[in-house]
Amino acid sequence: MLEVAPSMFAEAGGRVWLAEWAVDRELAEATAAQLGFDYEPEPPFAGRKGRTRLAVVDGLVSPDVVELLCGALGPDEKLVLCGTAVDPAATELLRTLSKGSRTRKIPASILAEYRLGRDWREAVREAEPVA
Amino acid sequence: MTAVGPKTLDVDDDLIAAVAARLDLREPNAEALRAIVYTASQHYDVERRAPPYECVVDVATGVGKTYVLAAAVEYWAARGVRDFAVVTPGRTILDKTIANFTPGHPRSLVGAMDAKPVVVTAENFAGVDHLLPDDVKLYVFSVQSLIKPTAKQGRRVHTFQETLGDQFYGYLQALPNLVLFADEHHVYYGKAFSAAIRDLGPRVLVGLTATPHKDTPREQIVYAYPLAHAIADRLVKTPVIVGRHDERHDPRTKLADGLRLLEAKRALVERYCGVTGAEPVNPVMLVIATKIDEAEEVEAILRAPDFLDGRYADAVLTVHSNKPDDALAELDTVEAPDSRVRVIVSVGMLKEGWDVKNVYAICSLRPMLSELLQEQTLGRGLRLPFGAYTDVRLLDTLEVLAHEKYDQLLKKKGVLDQEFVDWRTRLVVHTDPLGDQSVTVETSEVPGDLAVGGGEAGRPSIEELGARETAAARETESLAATLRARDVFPAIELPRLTMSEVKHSFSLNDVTDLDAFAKLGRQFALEPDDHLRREEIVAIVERGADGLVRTQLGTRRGEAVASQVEQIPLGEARERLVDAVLHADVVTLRVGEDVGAARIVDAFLGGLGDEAERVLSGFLATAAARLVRAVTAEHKRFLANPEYTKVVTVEPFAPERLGRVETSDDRTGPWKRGVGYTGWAKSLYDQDWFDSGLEKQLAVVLDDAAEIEVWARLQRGDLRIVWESDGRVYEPDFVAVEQDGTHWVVEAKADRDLPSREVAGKELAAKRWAQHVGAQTGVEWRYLLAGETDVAEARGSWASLKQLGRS
Repeated sequence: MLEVAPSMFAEAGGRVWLAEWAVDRELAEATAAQLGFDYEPEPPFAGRKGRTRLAVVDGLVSPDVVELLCGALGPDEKLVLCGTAVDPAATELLRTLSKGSRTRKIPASILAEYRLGRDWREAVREAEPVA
Repeated sequence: MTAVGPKTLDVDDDLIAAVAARLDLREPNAEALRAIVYTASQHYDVERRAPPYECVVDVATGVGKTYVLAAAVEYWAARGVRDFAVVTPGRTILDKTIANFTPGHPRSLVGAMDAKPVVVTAENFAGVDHLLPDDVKLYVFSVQSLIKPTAKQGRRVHTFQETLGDQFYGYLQALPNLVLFADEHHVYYGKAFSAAIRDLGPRVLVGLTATPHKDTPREQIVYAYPLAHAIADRLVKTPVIVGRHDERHDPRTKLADGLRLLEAKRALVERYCGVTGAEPVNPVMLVIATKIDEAEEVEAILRAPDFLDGRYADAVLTVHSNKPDDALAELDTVEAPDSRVRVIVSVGMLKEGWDVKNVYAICSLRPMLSELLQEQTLGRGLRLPFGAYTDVRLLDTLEVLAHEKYDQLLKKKGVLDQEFVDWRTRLVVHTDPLGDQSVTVETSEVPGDLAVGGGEAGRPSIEELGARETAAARETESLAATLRARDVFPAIELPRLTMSEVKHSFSLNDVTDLDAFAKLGRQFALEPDDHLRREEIVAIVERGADGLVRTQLGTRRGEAVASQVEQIPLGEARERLVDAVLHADVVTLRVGEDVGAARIVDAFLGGLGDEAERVLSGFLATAAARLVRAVTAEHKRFLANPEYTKVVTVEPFAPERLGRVETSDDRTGPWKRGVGYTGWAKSLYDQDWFDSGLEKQLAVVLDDAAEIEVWARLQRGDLRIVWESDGRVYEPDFVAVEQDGTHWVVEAKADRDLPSREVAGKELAAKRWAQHVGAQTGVEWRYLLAGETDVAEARGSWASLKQLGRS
């Protein structure tokens, strides 16, 4: 297992869950650390990297949430929008509204972006199906 | 990559945009990244050519091509490349490159990077853990260790191994997907380097330079952003060629001329930093000497006690090959605000890699203007000390002291223009009728055209010394008058509307109506097998490289499996379906959600009825996909609105401002851009400047209105109102406070703009803003949009204008 802020998880009943402490501010802080943003709460955002803002939603990223947060972005800014759940329609909407902005699901897709890339090399390990 | 599928570009534009944002790339650097990845894809994906792909990127000095390098690493790392290398022309740039990629170093770029590359040099090669395939590596070495000419003919002309080490060289050679950057590519361009590169066998070679080697094939230069453009785009200082009226060009006069301008700049820098809080800068003059004797002559003049009252006696740093190392070391510290150095005397050109930002004047004692204007020389003085233009002209220009007198410079203008002629590139993407894309690079010439006399920001000019000094004095004077909010008025309290964190809770346990899932089960049970077999979308629950489980919706791999049915016990099928729902994107992975997931799955199984075990044994992944899609669609019915609040904070509005150089007390006369108008009775500031005559007219109405107590012309950043969900911000023109306490946000618009969707959108946003802040602060805020006809018909009356405009 690669490092995904290990303490963000708790195991129970044979499943891995988001840890109980990982809510609100703590969730935002841990997510910022995981994605290499400095945690700088400036609501509704939690961090900044160049012109990219980080927002962490404790809960579902829906198209409404995307609209709200895009409205708070500056003119040249992009958004990395993390939520513990993500409606695929929100992902699509964000791509349309702000090219270069991304949604990420916590914890399943908060690895650094480059870790997900595998175009020019053979897949290091094939994903291992569990169902 | 194997050659399959259509011959079309394979480029991720979203990724380019994301990289550009996180590295805060300037536009030309983002364009350079785009050119590199598009043309590399053209080579491999469209033309299906063999490695290596070679290209050269020519970005003007001072624009920041290190960012191009970092951006290309970011892009390709996200697409799976792990091995990058940088060849440098020598130790200086090698050290600089290492610093650029060392976390925490002041020059580091990695803070903003997603891929934090491990820097590998010949020195630390042995100690790096090469078995971590997921780490991005950046190998850094100098060209000298790559090319080492040997005397014997017929042998390979380079023995990389001797200095880099066999092991390191062999390792690099064996890497299948090495992306190599050749920094300051022009320095070592040639046969030996090409041969060395062929031996190393990179997949991609990107040459980076501001001044391509003259033998570089034009078609290899996939991106060219010439100096003339960088100046016009205000990304580097604007060069001003300064000539005297008279014939005097003895060294003493010339040095004194340059230093007087430098002193004006120093005084302005101090005031500017005082007003804006910017980091202090130490302005210096660079003197280019041709020989050591000449450098020593310059140094002697500057050190003389009678030269400018001895102010420069201990402020000279001379660098040439015979100087001890400590002179070179001091060269690296001249940017420090407390550096003693005011003049750097250099024999020949200072090399690439010495890229300080505080050179504000360049001169030579000889008539070598065209050499001074060459990018390698001029480039030493082009970087912006404050990162962007200050709009104080003297702080945005580089003075180039000419040997020629002003009249001669004017006669030579055509020749000098030529120095700024260059060409630039444009990437053109072609789409054929099948939708396949390819790319070509078009080039066009950029003309040079120097301004004469008082120039403007972004256009190089030729100016006369006396006029230049007068302009400098005026700028110094105007900046001395910092504009402060006049305290004769009550403070304007300006609200800022921001948003709290957004919360949006949703739990599968909120799904109270399970009928839809039971119905889905019933339909599934009745569907003929060959229908299901043809269904493409399946859900796979898989464990990713990070060890985390997620449900992926994808298309079926290979043939349907119905023929090889093995019975899956219903209990196991149920567990797998629960897992699929639980790990769907739309579900939060919190304890308790399994209970909600199980209820949904049980409703689905109930719908399947007796058929459950048979159907699920054959089509479990299809069933899982249907369920996940149903949950994704259904959840919206049970969703509350996002929770957030709009937060209003109120701050007194009184920022300090820099006055304009040109002022006028003619409030009612013709409008001129950039002029600071004075003589206001009720303006918060002594001076106001406007973007149009209409705005000035409106200011006069506000100023003359008995009902108005105070008004202010808002400048960029003072009041931001977001008006589009894509983050577009609207910044209104005026704020005005009436005697009765009503606060107005006022906007003037040309009549032709009034019907536009944009103006309507801004108007709506401003009205909403006014309502919000009014409700939360208890102060009445209103918005008025006035067209040019409204302003004219109001005949100076604020009361009439309020009737005529849209409020």
